[in-house]
Amino acid sequence: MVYVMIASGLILVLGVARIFNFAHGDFYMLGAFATFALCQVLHINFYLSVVIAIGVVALFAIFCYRFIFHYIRGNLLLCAAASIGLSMMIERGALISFGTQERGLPSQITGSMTIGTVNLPMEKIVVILVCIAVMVGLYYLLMATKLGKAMRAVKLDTEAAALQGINTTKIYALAMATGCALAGLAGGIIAPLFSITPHMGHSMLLKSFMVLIVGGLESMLGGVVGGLVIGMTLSFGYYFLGGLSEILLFVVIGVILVFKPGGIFGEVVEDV
Amino acid sequence: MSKKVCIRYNGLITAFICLALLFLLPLHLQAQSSKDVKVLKVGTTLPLNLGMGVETKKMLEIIVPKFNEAGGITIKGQRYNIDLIIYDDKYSAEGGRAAVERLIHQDKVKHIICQIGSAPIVAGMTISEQEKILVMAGGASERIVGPKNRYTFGTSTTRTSIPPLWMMARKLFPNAKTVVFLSPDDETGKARAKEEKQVAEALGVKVLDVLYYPRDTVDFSSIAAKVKSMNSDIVAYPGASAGTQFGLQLKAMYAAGFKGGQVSGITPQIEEIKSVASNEAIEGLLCKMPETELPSPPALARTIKQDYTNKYGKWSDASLSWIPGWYAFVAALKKADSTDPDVIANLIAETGLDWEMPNGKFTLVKRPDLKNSRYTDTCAEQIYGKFVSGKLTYVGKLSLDEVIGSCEKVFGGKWK
Repeated sequence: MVYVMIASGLILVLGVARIFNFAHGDFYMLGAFATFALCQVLHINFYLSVVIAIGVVALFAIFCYRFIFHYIRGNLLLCAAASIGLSMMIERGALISFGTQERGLPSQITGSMTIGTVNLPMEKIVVILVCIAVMVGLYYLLMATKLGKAMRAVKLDTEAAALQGINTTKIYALAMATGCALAGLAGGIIAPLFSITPHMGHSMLLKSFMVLIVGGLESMLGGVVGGLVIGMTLSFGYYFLGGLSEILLFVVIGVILVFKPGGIFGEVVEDV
Repeated sequence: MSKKVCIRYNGLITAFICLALLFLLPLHLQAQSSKDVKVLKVGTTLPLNLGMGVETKKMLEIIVPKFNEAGGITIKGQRYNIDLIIYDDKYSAEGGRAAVERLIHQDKVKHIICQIGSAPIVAGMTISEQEKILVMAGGASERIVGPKNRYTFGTSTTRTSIPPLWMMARKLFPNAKTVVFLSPDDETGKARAKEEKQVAEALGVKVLDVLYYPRDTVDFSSIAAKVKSMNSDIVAYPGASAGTQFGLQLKAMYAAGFKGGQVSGITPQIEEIKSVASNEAIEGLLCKMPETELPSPPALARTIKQDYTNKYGKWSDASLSWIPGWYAFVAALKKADSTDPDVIANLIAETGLDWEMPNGKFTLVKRPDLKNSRYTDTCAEQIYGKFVSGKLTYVGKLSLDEVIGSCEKVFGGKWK
């Protein structure tokens, strides 16, 4: 479900703001480190720390949009290159601020639930529930609110949306902030589950791209389904195949792309 | 000018010269003495992306300057201070090779010490052996102590600490019949898993499976679920990192409902582990215990702990695990009375080497099981502890003879 949340943010940024954000994994890392710093250094309650971390990441995303992507928006390649540079800067910043050591937060929720013969830790169940709630909230935001409608309008036709009086610059910045905040939230809630390192965004970004490829580049529903396919393949794959699960993942992706070249919910775009 | 005035001038000039000499003499002596001290460049490559690398660096940055302040080392009447050059090898073969190349060709070092990861050591060895560089490395791979190496010595106890560990594990879990290994799928993990499997089977414990995982894994839930489904009596962690990642493994095992014994050959980084795993998750874990954690530690261990705490504010037991290479190097320089890698390597390979450090007594041993009749690997006294209510408590100690005896029993041949 965490893959789903991160990939949804990536899709939102790509779909609305037209930015292929290679720094998305670093916003995830930033969320984790912000939560860690607030919890461990300032001794703020974990849940409040996650909320503040989301705010910090969203503000930073707006700052990045305003001072970097705003000037190059529309040029997908330039935006991608700038996001790679941004990724390097964020990672270096984290390295300087927090060092190279792995960090960790203690579990906030203890106990486990037994389903059949499998024990599921309560904290993971809570993370799954939070992800589901956030995805429902995101769906509501996009479908039922004025902001969501504006985002969809900008995604469909930027010029027509602008002619209708929508402030497109504001929508781009808000899409970037919302997408990155989702990554920050994922980093925050994952902090007590896994270790926190300045490089943690890399593998997550790679898997998010896989989710995008499987689900379809600009489809939110595709992001959800793709995230579940990737997550399940990795988890169950390890259980049955051990270290070969990574190969299984690529086999699954290959099979899906043979039958649905644009991803499960994506469209095939052909060069003319 | 009258004679009286001339005498007065002469007196003043003489007094001035005497005063000037009085001031200049100590300066001259100081300059002479600093000119007499030579600098011996020594290199190391550490995984600074991991806690164990950072902690080792921090410890080396205490003990090396302290060694120099205490007068350095005198070889053939010449005083030397050590200049330690540290590079990041990122715990990877590419990083290790690049760092070793830089040390040898750019910094012109002739001695490399205290490396940690097997992959960087093995990758760097291809150059260091060719360039006749003395390497006193850590690491776990058997290739480090292979018979073809002439200048590389394994100064960590990772390869020889497994038989004594499992002897202790058999004492602690006498009814255990099966074990599952969780190991990283890199040089270190595979080497340790292979050795630990050999040892466990020699001591009558059946190895159900060795589960490998990528070194950067953070989610161990599916691996833990698989271990749980195998119903083994013990789970062991050959080659695991000592810090947060190890804590995540213990946490996942606990969450999966694993109730068997847990064994680890590494000295755990207690602070890092406890930052992610609860006391319940680490309860009963059998592992190595540093002398500094004993209720009444020996003087050397006490001093080094104090020095570290004074400099960094908080003690980290992980800082000790990978520094035997430094103490071995100093002992080798003293024994050979030479800085020449050829002289040192030949002497210690033929006659052995003993040294003492804050983690106890160490000695070089032969590895007849690896067809190496030279003194090339290291055995050390072993102290074991287990976690009780989140605290590492003393279980027992094995002397140097007992450790060597256990290795000879499992691997065969005469080691000393």
